[in-house]
Amino acid sequence: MSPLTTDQVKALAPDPASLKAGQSLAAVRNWVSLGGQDALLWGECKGSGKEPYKVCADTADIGYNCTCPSHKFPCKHVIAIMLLSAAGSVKTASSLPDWVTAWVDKRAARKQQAAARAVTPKADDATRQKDAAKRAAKREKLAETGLDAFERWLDDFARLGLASAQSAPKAFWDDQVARLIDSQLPGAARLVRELALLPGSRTDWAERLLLGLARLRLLTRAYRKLDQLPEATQSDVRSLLGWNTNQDELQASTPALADDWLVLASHTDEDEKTGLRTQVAWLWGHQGVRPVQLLNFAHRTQPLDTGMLPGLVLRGELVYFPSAYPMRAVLKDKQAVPTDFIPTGFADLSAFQDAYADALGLNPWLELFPAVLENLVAVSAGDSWLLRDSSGLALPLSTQFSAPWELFALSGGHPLTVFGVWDGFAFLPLTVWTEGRHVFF
Amino acid sequence: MPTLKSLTKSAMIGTPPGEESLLSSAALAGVGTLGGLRLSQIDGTSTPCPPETLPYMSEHAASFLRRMLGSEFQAVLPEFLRALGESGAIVLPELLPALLGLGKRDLRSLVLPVIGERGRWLAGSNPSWAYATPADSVPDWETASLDQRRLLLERLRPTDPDQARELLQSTWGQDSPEARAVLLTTLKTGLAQPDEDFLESCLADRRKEVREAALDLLAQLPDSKLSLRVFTKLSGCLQIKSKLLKKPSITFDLPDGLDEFNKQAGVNVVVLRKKLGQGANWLAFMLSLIPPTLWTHEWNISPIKAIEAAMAGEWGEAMLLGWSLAAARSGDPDWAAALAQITVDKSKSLYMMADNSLSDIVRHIPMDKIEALTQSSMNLKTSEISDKNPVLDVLIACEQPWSAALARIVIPSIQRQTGKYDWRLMDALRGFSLRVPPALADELIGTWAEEPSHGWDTYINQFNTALRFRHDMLEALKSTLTP
Repeated sequence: MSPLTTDQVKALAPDPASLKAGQSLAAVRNWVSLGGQDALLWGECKGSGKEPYKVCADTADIGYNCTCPSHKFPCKHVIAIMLLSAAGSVKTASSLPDWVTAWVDKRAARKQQAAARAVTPKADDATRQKDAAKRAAKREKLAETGLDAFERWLDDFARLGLASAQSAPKAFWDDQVARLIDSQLPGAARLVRELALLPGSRTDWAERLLLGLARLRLLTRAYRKLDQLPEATQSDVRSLLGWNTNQDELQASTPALADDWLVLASHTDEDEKTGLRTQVAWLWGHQGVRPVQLLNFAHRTQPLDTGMLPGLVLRGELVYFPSAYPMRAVLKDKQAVPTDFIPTGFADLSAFQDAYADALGLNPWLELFPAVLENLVAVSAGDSWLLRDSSGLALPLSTQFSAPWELFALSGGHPLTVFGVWDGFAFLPLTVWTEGRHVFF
Repeated sequence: MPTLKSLTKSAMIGTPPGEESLLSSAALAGVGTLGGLRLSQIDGTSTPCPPETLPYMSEHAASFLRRMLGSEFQAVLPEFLRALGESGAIVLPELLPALLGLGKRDLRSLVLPVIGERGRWLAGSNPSWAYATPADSVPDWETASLDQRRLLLERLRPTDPDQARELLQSTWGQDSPEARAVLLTTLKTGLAQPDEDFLESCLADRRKEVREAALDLLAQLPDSKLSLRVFTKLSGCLQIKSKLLKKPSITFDLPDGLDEFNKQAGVNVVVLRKKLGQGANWLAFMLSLIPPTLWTHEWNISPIKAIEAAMAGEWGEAMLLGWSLAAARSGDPDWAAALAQITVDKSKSLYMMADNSLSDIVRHIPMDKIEALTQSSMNLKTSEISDKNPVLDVLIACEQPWSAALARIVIPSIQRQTGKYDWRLMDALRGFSLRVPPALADELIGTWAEEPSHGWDTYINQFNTALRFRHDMLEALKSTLTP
């Protein structure tokens, strides 16, 4: 009935406590009623209140609803009912209770509304357009000033020498980050914040820092000559500095790619200070030739896109963000389908090197180069770990990689297929295919 | 064109004011360096792992193992590994590092059958996993390190105990005291009469740990000369006396010249319990070295009568202490059952036995006897199993898998008592959830009171969750992946 496995359900839990609570509720005795039909699940779970909580879930697109007051999404009741379904404990019912039908109808209506909104652009009224143009011009002006100061900061930093970064006070970075935020350049602010973490953090920090600063300098220069750049590169520059692309407009204006998309990997980072959670998911189209990146943002308790479970195949329409090397995209109207396939990656590491050079040629600011690599054997060399191809070329693994022994065990001296991201210095494996299985790190 | 590396050197120092910073050239060089990536070549090919002959466990079964390796339900791990081994399947490769890393001694025998070719291959790459490497990868005795020697002996003892002992003896004179102490304990496996002379000689070793280990092993050896020496001495000082209309009791006359006897017998007496007098401690220690069946034969009475007679005399505590250790060592089921019985019958007996020895004793009692003991305690003491019924101590100590019959006596009794607070019973439930047969999961989970009294909820949930986990985990082991 459910295309979700227990592990996939566990991955949905917003935190370990919710999972634990869900697991303890995943016993039939806690449920007053329980039923399912196709991908739909429903049940009434005993709670502390008089009335049991009414829980609905659609495992096809991971939609759910529960009458409990929890601020966790999904709540423990939703997790519990999905776990019960994964364990085969939910029996197929012949008809839907009224409250379930009501939920299904409401969802369908909401979907229709959303679709209608996407198709018909909002009624344009002249004043609003004029306001928008005024705001845009004001922002450009603000950015110009901000970038002037930023350029001076970059050049002064370089003249002073990178060695000074090790003893620089926190304010040295924080002040610049704040100035960029004030200038409405959040993208550049993020890049500076990341550079601030580098000094002393690893053996090659100075190289990484120099490259990062140089790329930022290249970015400010590119912005000055924006008109002379190809349109796709203009988009890269603007989005790196922090201009957002309107996703509704994007979807309306760009042709979509219909395909089956395998979720290669997915993980969520939370910025403890701001509470902003970023979900990065990597997809591979059945007819595709390279990985696609999906980004989702949410604040603390807001739900993220919970349907991005590694190993799941989603049928849907993909729209790329404009870029000289298109990678980020949005996926719309997605629906989980019970199928499976393995991506076709680079046959060896020299093909990977060439492709990376090409990508950098198109987008010199490319931070991560995602790649599926075939025929690699995991080897250890002293304290470090490598992936070696049949010609002997070896890809160094990131020191941040948490599971080198597991990868080594999966390889067992035999070649395997790996998906991961290359940051120009080291490779971070995220998924492995071997012996007909896929394993996620 | 400069490379990123060469530019970094100058960038660290910086440039004088007025000159253009090198960031512009660095952008070109840096991106150029990245784009001009030339991965280095490494030589040498490692030997790949040979193909598996056994099937992998299913992904579903792996999800249970993953939870246990992630510190959930860790106490269930031995049961899982045993069942996995019996099913003839092996663990998935990515779980091997965590499993091999557990490496706890008592888990090793369960880990080794389920790691497959991949596990043995992998173990060769990490010195702390050496115990799992193929047998032929251990070097010769002469050149082996202490760890490797222990490993060699552990592997050889089950199949060729004499050769293992001879290896140990071959370098005994040159080995350090630490090595002797460590290596001697490996003789526990496959312990038999041919080991006796060597062990006797170890009683005179200069190192205390070696002497103690040898004594412990000799006391475990059936019909050892040591046990007989001590028995002969003790049987002269212990007498069972029956008076008319009175229960029999055992008297003890402390013999003279204890030190001399100890020396002759090769026994180093250790203080077992501080509050005991010197004589009582001596008696307890000596009794612990003798298989308790020798006494039941000598006096021609049942173990329970012997224990009652001991408790009726002045030396009851010392004798119970000694016998509880002896019963744990020898594993005699009749004596074990008698000690459990006395725990139920006489509440003070438990405090006389050696600390924590009850589980070592109960381990040797056949299940049907534990069932009978439990049932009769419910007729005799209180009608239920509770803090007031000392059989609870026996059940807590009963760590082996329970029979369905025992579970059907104990759990329903607890279920009838959830109306009142009983902390010991709640706490005991945690252990019981790991021992009742998983096949009874539905029966035992569905029968709790709807609204138990305060405090019980957590424990009932814990019991249900653990039992359900064990049940589902064993179900999951029924299917395997093909190799």
